[in-house]
Amino acid sequence: MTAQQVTNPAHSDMAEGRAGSPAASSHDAAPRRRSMQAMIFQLLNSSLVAAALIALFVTFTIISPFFLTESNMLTLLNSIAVIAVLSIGQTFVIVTAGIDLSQGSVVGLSGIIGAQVMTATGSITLGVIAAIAAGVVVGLFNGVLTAFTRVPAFIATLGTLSIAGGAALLLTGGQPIYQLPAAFNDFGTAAIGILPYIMIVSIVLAVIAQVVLSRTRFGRSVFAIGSNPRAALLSGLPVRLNTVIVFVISGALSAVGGVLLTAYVNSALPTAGANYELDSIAAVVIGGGSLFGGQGAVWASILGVLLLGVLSNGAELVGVSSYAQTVILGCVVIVAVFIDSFRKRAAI
Amino acid sequence: MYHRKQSRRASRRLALSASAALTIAGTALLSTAAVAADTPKTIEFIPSSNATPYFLQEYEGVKKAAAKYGYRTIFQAPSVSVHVSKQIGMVYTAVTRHVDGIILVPYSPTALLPPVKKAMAANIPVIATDSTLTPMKAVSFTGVPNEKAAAAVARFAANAVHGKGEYAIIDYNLSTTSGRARKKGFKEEMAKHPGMKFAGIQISHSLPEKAMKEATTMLERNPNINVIFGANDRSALGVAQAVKRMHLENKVTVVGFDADLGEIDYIKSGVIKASVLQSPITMGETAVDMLHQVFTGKKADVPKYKPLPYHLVTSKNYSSPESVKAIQQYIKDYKN
Repeated sequence: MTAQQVTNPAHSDMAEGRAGSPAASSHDAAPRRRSMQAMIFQLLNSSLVAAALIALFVTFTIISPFFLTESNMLTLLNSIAVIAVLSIGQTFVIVTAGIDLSQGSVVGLSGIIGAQVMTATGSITLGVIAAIAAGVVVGLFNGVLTAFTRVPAFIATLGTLSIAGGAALLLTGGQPIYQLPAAFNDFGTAAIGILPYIMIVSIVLAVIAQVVLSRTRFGRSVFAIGSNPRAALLSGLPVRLNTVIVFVISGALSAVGGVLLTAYVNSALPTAGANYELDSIAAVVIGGGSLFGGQGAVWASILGVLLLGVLSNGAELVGVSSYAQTVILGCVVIVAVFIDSFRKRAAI
Repeated sequence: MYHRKQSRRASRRLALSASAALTIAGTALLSTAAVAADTPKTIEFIPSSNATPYFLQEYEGVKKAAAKYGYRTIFQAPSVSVHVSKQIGMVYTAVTRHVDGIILVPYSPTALLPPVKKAMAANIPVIATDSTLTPMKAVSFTGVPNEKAAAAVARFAANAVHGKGEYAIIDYNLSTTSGRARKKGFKEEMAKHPGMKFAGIQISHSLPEKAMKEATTMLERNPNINVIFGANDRSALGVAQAVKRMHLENKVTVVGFDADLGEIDYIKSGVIKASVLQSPITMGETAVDMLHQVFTGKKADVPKYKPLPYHLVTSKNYSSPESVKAIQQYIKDYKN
């Protein structure tokens, strides 16, 4: 249970109390109303992100003749595929009011393990399985720590960020791994039109995850854990088990990201995913995910990834210095959280 | 009722703040966008990190030579050097923009191959600098031969301790071609001196404080170490600090690679006995000269590999004109 989770019940109690509605005491109506309200805000926020995205698209198309070209769209989609996969897992974790800081290290570690198994056995399949297994192990560790001990997710995953990052360096002595199977790199660089294979993997995973999060009983319980863990526990939901599963999902998807990145750059670098977790968290927040839990959607996070990607690509294309780019990206993230805070205030 | 009014007000605020964000981004972009379409030839310089003084010096050389020919230059680099995928994207973007030439410092010898091939296929010549590509698909590669330079400083160190003792290495990382080449060159030269024993290697990740910590631990654990090689400026700086703090200046020979003001001060005070200096400004100029040859139809004259000279600056020769000139490749306004 994180500190955030503990404050959350009070927060929602207040929401009901202030509203002065008789439904506040009813166990039946409150969650439904809350989820509807959350949905409306989600939609409002996402449509704003979508509007900003369209505005950026139009702006860049006008400013640069190269923006809306096949080759640039290919570059753009290649650059966001890995972050997109990470943001899916991060969405699950953030909806439970948790956070997964270990994602970047898992990208590096799983890439290294996958590459080592691939070069040792010559089998791409075995390599991918080993990589994902590594991600699952780290996710399991994060989940068990968060669900069964009083270690907050922030600290647990901060620890594994360091552990997994160090393990990747230890396994290779800091050296990168080259000479991966040619078919593996071919997959990493191939595309259908402007859709790189690695982006197709991201899209398929995002669609599945969106359905799981919004249409299944497990998905609903993920939201319940995030909005009010005590209520979720009292209503008999397997809070601990589902918390563990959520972190395992994030770990496994980070490993998939590691595999995709390794294929794309044709080598496994132990430090490959450094800071990727920050991008995925930023994307989820821009997409309307709340760090206080209970809000977020996979497709909205993907919009967030796209927004960050378009901004960075477009800025590069028109020649904004790489120093200014990071300033602009930071501003966008803060504005997104700013919007989030207004939404929070509106909810009280 | 209360709810709806609140949320409406909130949504208005949302829209406001979102448009504010767009304006910020928009003005920032527009102010630099004017650069996009021009007639003179454009050269894009893409090193592997945007905050490494060494690459900024190389860019000085690029700008200097480009001004001579009337070319425009663009500087793009990932903010964190480990973002190799970011650098790949930058080369692709340069191809999309149809720049006329690319000067690249490839972070990885293989990862940058696909975008380099694409650039060359699109008739955009690429010059690899500092680190090479395998296989070399660019027009040319120019840089200091890291192995040879590291061997030169190893020879100096071995002679300084009369070929007897133990040596340790603090490398900055083993993921880059140059980091590995310097280690290899140093160790291979040391192997020629039978009295020199290898005592270990640690990685500093280019952080002086980390290099200092590692060097301190090594020296405490093994008092027989009498040579430490800091494989770049940051690493050598940390090693020098450790040795100075432990008052081992006269017992341990510290040698380095590259230079910054801190390192030069340690050379003057004799804590660092020698350092291998490269020539980043010359490297940038050489790359532009090569592109100029390609632009003017003399591609056949461009060599596949052009090694650049290196200079060994020592605590004895640092005030010589050659040394001052070499140091000025790193520190623009350096005077002895």
